[in-house]
Amino acid sequence: MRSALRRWLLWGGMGLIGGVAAALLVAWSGIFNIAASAGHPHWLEAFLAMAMRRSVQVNSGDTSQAFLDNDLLPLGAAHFHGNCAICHGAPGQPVNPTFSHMLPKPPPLQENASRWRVRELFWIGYHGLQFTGMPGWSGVGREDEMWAVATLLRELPAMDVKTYQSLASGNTHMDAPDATTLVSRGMNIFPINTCDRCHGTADAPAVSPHVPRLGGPSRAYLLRALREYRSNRRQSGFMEPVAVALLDGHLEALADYYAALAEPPYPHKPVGDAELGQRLAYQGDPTRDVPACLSCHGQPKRADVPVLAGQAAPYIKQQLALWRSGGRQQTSYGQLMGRVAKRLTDAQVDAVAAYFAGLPLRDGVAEVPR
Amino acid sequence: MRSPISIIIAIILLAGCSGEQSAFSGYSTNASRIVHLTWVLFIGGGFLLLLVVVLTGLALLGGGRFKQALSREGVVVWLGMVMPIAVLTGLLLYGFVLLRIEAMPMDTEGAALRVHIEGEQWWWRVIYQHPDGTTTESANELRFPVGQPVELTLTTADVIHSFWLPAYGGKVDMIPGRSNSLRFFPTQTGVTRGQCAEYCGGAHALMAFYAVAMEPEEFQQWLEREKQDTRANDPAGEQTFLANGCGGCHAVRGTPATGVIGPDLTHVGSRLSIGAGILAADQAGFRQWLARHQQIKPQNLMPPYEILGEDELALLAAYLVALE
Repeated sequence: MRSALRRWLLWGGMGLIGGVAAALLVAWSGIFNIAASAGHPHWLEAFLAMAMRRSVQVNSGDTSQAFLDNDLLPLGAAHFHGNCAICHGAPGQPVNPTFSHMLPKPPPLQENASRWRVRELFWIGYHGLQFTGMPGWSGVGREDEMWAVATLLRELPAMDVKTYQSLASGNTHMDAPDATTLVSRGMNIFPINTCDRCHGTADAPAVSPHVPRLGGPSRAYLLRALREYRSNRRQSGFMEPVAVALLDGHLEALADYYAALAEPPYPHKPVGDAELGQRLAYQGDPTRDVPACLSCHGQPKRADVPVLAGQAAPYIKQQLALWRSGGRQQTSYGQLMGRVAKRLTDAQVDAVAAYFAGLPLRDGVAEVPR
Repeated sequence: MRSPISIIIAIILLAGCSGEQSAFSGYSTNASRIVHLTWVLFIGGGFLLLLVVVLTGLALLGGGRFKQALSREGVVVWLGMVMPIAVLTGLLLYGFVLLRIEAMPMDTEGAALRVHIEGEQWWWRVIYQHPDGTTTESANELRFPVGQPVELTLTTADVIHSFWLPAYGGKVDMIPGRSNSLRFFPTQTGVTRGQCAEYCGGAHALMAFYAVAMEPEEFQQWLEREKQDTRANDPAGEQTFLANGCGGCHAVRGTPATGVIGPDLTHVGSRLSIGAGILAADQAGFRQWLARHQQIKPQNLMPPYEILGEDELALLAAYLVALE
């Protein structure tokens, strides 16, 4: 018995060493063709697809509670159109031929999204996939943003061209270019750095209450925010690609523009105890060592600290959630606010969001609190 | 004695002998009585120890004559029974006398100065309670006149702290939900140091304060000044202070800064220390604190203020020093 076991172990060990040696030899010899154009044999294709599907299913299993909210649709659509559609196609837009020749070929998502659960789509988009060219989310810790894209992907299979384009273009309106314009400017209908895909204009509100309203925040604050996005110190998968696509001069010009703009409010009813919010705004909660919001955000204040009045409640709540989870600690401003945000209770977060959302945008709110 | 640890231990032990924070100073009637009692016990105890050692030595090494003498019943009765009863009874009576003396000045005169001190992580809120019912808040520094009884009300805002001012009073815990009191009768002027003597979390070791005992007239002048609002003639500094939200936690009476979370800064420029006995209240100290307080006193509850640029630090330091 024992000698039989030893013989098997010996053969097994030799087989393993031989296999590794053979694999090394094949790789070193260079005879395996890794050209994308060569494609995969069917059996390998099937094996890889199985391995990928199982890995996604297993790893997405403990994905936290889905954050799906129809208010996020326009955001997901605008981001998808600017960053994903070039590989994955979109309603009315085929996969760009350049990228359809990748291996593996990126799936057109209108046809394929329904083959995955929403949480699996979220997981793929947030973490990316090795060896496929699918990147992970560029905003570290911003699961909320990927949920916006997942919300879109949930709706995408049944979405018609018109709905999709209206969601993805937001407040951007571009007429079909004539031949002269086409020749010199091209025909990207809404380029990635078209701000009003999401943000409000003088006539139209932001596309969602999850988008900050511009026009209240000062030039210095806007400039700081853009620089933080650009240098990867403020995390956002939505804003980082946009900020990086801008030049220095653009940042100043945009900060000037938006500091002077006043946009209408998003028609949205904040939920929360605005009266408690007002008390926190003016007096804070000394029992929890929470200073009054307006001691920094009211007048007089630093130019690069934002006024909060008029921001929609979901945006304020989301940013406070980021501070509380340590997601905005890469700047000295974020470290300061993070300390304070962590002292708030859930009810207090809702309350301050409701209070500030109910104020008009340009209201500088009060002198320093009493 | 050449290893770093023994040097550090020696420094700590020697520091205990310096008058600033020494239980041997005895600058109040009660503290000096405690010092007295301490010396009586030390010297008496040392004398008895010497006696025991000598007798033990004789019993072990002495000749037969000593051994015989020591084993007599009379020795056991006199040294083992009569002497301890006499010594302990004497000490007890001495203790009663001390306790009686202690009670006298307080009960007959009532405290001339009442101060409410609240321990907070990790600093001291000091509230002077005036006879007319009004109060004046300060922080991390206690001033009192000599020659009059002082009564401290000791409470805590969060966890257990212990108020310890060795040169003047004993050590009294600050217990959540309770109000303790400490009375003493200061006799000597001077600047001494106290600190928290009960572990209270991260920055416990950096929770100290200064006590300043003054001549009565001098103290009255100081108190009158302390009651006043202050407004440094420095609009740029004040603007920087307010615009950076300092007023959300700190009060400077006479300005719109009315925060109640952190130390009252009304006369912070005239205090001996900032950060609860950690840095001097001068320009360099304020600058250090504002720029690096989380490194200097880790975990303290003030949010890090690294947003302040050099020019703002200079403005704020000058402003705070001017709040005299």
